[in-house]
Amino acid sequence: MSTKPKFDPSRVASLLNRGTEEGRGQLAPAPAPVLASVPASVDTEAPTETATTDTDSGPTPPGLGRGAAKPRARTTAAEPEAAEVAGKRPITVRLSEEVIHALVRHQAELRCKPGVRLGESTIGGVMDSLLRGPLGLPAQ
Amino acid sequence: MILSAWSDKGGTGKTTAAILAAAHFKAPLLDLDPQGDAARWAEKGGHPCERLALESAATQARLIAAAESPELHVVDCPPGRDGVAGMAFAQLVLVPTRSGDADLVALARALALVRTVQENGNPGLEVAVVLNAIRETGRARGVSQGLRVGSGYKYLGEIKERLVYEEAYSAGVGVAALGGAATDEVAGIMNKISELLFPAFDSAANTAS
Repeated sequence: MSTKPKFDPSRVASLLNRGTEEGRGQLAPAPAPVLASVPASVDTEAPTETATTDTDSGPTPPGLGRGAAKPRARTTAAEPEAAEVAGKRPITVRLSEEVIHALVRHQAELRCKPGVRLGESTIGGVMDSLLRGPLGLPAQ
Repeated sequence: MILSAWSDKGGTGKTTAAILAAAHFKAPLLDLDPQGDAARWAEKGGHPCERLALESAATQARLIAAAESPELHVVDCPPGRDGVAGMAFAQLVLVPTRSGDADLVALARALALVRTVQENGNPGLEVAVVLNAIRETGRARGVSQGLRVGSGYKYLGEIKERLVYEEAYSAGVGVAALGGAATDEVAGIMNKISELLFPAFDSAANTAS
């Protein structure tokens, strides 16, 4: 006999109603969100603004050791919700620290190779970092 | 039974995905998006469709009834947190994404939200991702490659940027009615959806003739 939990619409409704009452805060993803500014595009001919994170006191994220500039200290964004901006201007999003580090690693690679268009393997690697690592999804 | 088209970002192709699925499965539409684009498509083609108001008790009751019905319903959700109600009662949520950075970050947010729903009363909610409106570029191939290696969702494949999708919308029909390369493209994706929704049955039995 299966022990898998069954569909419980009343629990789902409870989640939704709680989220509505509390500004949908209950629907936030499990990892504690951190506000960070990240580049809106990686497909670029020139280096773009670096993502920001709190690297002043912590170890340098992997991928920053090839002459790339370190990211600047974390800034505090005033807007609580994600703001998406078209083009290559920075955007503000809620991300876990792991996602930020994945993006910072990626951006560092860009800074090492200014003017070089990204290849498939780089983007695939970032996708892997974004979708697997930060969300704690099991590896295939 | 509910198949929802939802994402955490606008402009990814939720309505396109919803009407393609509704046309393919000949399933009634529930349009939860205040923009009402799916309802307009349904009206043109004489397709069954109900428009539902966001955040009403009646809507929630209607979604629960649809979820518990053996008949497939396709829900077109608004983007972001507003649309979570539309996918929270579903058996399968279809998350279209495009290949831009903001799209991919939004996809990661969407998957996290789906997981929250799975942990709060809908453990059987399945997630399928489709890469929408792509062009033949290295970036698109790279994103496709990245999505294929991810786990925790079913990657259905790519929908190319084609004029026929706009033409099908304008005519109130599915792309199969217009023919061309998109027909096979969409049929491949719908067959994968069919396998997720109706695992005990031959997918061909659940598709439109």
